[in-house]
Amino acid sequence: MNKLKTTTYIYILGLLVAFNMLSCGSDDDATTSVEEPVVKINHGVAVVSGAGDVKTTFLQGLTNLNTTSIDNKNSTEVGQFSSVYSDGKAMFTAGFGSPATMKKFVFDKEGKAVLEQEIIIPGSNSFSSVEILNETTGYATVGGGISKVIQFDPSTMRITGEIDIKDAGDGIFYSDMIIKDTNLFVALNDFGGSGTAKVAVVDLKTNTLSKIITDDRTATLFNTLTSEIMTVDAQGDIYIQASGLFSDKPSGVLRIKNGQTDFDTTYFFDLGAAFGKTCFGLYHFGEGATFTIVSENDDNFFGTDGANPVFRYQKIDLAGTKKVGDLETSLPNTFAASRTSFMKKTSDDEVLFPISGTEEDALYSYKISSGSVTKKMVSTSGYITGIITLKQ
Amino acid sequence: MHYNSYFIIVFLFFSISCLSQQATISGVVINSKGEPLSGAHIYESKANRSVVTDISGSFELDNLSLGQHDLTISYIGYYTKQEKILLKKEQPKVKQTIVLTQQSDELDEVTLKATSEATKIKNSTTTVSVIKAQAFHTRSITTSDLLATASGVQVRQSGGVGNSAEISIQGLSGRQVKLFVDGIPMDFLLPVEELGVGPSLAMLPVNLIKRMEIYKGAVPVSMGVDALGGAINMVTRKEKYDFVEASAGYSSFNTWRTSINARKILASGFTAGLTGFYTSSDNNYRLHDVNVINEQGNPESISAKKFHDSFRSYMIKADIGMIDQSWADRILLSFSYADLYDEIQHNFEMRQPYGEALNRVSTYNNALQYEKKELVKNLDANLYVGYNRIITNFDDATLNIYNWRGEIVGQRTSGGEITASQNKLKLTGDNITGRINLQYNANPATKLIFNGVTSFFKRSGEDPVAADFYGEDYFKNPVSINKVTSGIGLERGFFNEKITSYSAVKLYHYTAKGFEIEDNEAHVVEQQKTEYGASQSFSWKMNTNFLAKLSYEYATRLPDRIEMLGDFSAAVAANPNLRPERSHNINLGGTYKKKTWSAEAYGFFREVEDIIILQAVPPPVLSTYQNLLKTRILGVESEIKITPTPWISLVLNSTFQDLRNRSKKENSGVSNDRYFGARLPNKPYLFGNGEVQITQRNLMDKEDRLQFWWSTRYVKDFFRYWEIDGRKEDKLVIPTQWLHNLGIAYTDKQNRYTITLETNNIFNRQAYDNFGVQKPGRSWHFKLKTSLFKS
Repeated sequence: MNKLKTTTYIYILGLLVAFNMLSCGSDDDATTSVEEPVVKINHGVAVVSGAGDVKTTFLQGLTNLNTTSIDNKNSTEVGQFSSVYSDGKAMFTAGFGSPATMKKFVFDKEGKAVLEQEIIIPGSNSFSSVEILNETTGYATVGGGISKVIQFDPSTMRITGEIDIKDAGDGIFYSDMIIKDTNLFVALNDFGGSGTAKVAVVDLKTNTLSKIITDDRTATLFNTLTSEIMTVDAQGDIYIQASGLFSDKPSGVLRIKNGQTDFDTTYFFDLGAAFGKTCFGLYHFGEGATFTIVSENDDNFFGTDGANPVFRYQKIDLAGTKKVGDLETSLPNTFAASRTSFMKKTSDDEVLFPISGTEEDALYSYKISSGSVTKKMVSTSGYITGIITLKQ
Repeated sequence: MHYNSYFIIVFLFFSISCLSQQATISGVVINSKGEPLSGAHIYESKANRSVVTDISGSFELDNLSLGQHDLTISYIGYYTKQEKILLKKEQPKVKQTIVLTQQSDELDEVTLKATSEATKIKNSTTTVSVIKAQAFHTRSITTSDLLATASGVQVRQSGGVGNSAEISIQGLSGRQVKLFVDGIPMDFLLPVEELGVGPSLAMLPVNLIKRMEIYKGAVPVSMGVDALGGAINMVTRKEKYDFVEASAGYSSFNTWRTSINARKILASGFTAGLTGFYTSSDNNYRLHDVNVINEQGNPESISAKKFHDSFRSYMIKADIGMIDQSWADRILLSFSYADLYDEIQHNFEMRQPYGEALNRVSTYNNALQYEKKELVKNLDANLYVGYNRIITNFDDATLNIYNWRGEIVGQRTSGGEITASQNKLKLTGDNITGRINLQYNANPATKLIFNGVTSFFKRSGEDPVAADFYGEDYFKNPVSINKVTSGIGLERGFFNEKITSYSAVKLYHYTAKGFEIEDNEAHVVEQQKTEYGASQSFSWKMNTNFLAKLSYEYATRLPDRIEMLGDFSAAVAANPNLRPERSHNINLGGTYKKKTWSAEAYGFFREVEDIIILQAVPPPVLSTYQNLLKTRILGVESEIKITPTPWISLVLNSTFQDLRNRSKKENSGVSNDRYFGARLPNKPYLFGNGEVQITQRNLMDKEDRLQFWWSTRYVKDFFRYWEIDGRKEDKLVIPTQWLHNLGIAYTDKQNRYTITLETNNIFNRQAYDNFGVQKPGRSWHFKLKTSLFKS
């Protein structure tokens, strides 16, 4: 009996001590003041890590991209699924989740991405498109019924103005933006409701909505953050890719001729006819280097089926309105084109793009001059959703 | 066809029960305070028969011959009593109230509990915690908070009264844990599916509950649903004596909790009861470090009170029936109406304040319950037939944008605070439920238990606001689900009942019908599933002090209607290829009891596969549920109770649970095995509770009582995202919680009234169960409970 009592009291004491230790413990040791060498960061990479339903974006800086493998052990946890942008000096994230939050990260002397400032749009769901023009001017749109283009200063992370685009319609998602001359073209996604492709034209001289242009040969300018559906070619023509989702229209590419603010009725690239499937994204890096991504299974266009990645990078001929073929036939399929795909030009001759697969997550390199494709680096900690390059 | 058969059986039993009228001695055994004595032994010498009183102290000896009968009534801690009863032809049925006298005023409570219904459940083969709610009727504690005091149980709450909550039992949580009210699945009675567990539990205040049974691992067949690894049964009060009781409490944040309970029993056995409660709270506690956004779009941290989190709920329930009849121990017809109003203050990580979105619920429950021991020889029956209607309204139709100060700072051009469409959604769900529970007592050591539950649920709705957005009112499309759950258990004692074995098999079947929207048209989708589960458990009473238990269960949880067929209102698409969640559950441990202390420790193991997880995507694209991840849970929970003297008691429990991912890449949604073996994120793994209670009797008057208690809850910090990802020093963390509560209560000599004063979170610590979502700081509670009348 006494022994049991003693055991009991030891048990209680143990529990209390354990609780005390646990509640008081784990403060970091005081750091030493040894001066560490400055790490020069030239690139920023965003990786989405996690399994099951617990995933988030991690940011890291790289001195150069000539590494065969990256992980996330020295990455900064963002706490949101985010796409990344840059003004050449810092790394900006725009994340899914209410309210829309854009974060500016700078790289400290150890090369860590450190949060410097945020822009938050109350009442909105998430940023839907971001376009950073230079170090002092950027534009952004948000989802969730806030019918505005936000003008901001990336250097100070301050909102500097708003452009009311309410007249573009209610319940619209702003998919992508592109600035051409003194106009801002905003891709409008009405989720197939109108059965047309719609673009808002904003006059940046007056910061007012000039007009809405529509084209019923395709519909649904569907796009989310990391990918792009608007591009400008060397002639200054704007090309806009539509998915046709939620409508009976095919995927397609429309054009706005240089200097014009209307769709070119003489041009239509029927991607549906070319591929027989839904296409997402449009990337143009010069003649012979134009790409879209084709879904091989429209039931799975978000690519979250654990077994079957369904998207393939395809080369297309914009001027000739015809498909060219696989970007590289040996490439595996990739997951989740509309959320995680991107193509990023990192030098005059190199474009990087990710493959998120069942066996590997990797960044591939496409050489514009030769058209060759090589694996650039493997990510062992998740799929890569963005890359930015800082100015030297 | 098989659904209908349950109802036929139910009514057959009602018919059979009416035919059996014999010479009978029945009654109730109570103590000198009028409290029923559960487990008292009644021996009738002439027929050499004995019975034990049930939880309400009632007993019945039927099929007796006419003439004189000698009864010996005994109960631990009370003087044994002899009674002579004459059964005459003209009066073949005698009802007797037997009052036993306590042997000593100092008799300790541990001894009394040894024969209580709660202890019987605890001594069963399954691992179970029992919380006697009666001890908390004088306190301002919520049902959610009371549940969280059990070892192995974690309740994660998102704020104050009526806010969302998630219950976990030994690492399994959400839909894997099932809740019951008197053995009836709680989602048949309360808006669990529509609003979640938190608001539903707020519609079941502690003062209406007799006890909570928390089954861990192997769930007994009497809990008739497909729980994966745990079930909670809240047993409501069923007194068998006249009483009127009321309580009223006022707490910080303008919180009111009132309840009334009354029952009348006539000599004929006719009984009528009335129960009601009203709970309301502004939940306007102060939040720290929330952001308001300046004109430049930058956040500025402020401290502000919640401004749109009011909660109100009330319920009125009446019942009439008969008790202690030869054909029924209890037959009750009950009706209840409940109403709920619940404002929604913020999104799930408390980053976006809302100012107008809210939920309203009305529920109507009608039930017929029938209980009879020895319905026919050696067969006990418990039957239930219920019709319930749950009407939920979700309003999210404002264009206003609010900041944390409660100010309108802008307007959207479209969409609500939560949904893209805006909503004025009304859903009406009707549910018919039947339950049969039969226990055949083949001999004192062998019981065969059958439990069958069948339910028919149908729901449809309307939303004119969303219809404007979508072009059609898709909510008008009905959804339905019909379920049958059957289980058979065999309990058998060996070696003079030192070892008890309990074997069970369960069969689940459902047919669900819903709709999905494709090309702007609603298409009917239908699904059927049949699965089974099985369990085997043992208890070994090694000596009078030590009880060991071992249980194994192969548990199955079928995908529910939303997971399988999707739900338009929740922006979830159908996935007919979903597999059931399956789990192998093992529990091993024991309890050691002495006169002044007891200790128990249980280890648990879970191997869960095909976990159903929502893969969320931004609306209007629909999310889907998918089978992802396989998890292994290893843990240990322990509890010690000490009552060294009658005036002080100490309870301490702790739980450590290690949840590890056991999925290879194929089932994780990733391209390599780096998460294999990693601890699951966003899950508490170390937590515990403690309470010290000091009771001073005979303070101002003989037999009055002054109680003082200190209780505490500890939860170790844990990561929001996977531990192995990113730089450790700046990962997002749900911080350690260690909260302390104090209370004092005075009860007068006849238990006529109790005055209670409590303070929770006395050090005003910031507390989080979910990332970023702050719980209340220090709060004060005053409560008065009075027994206006007690027979």
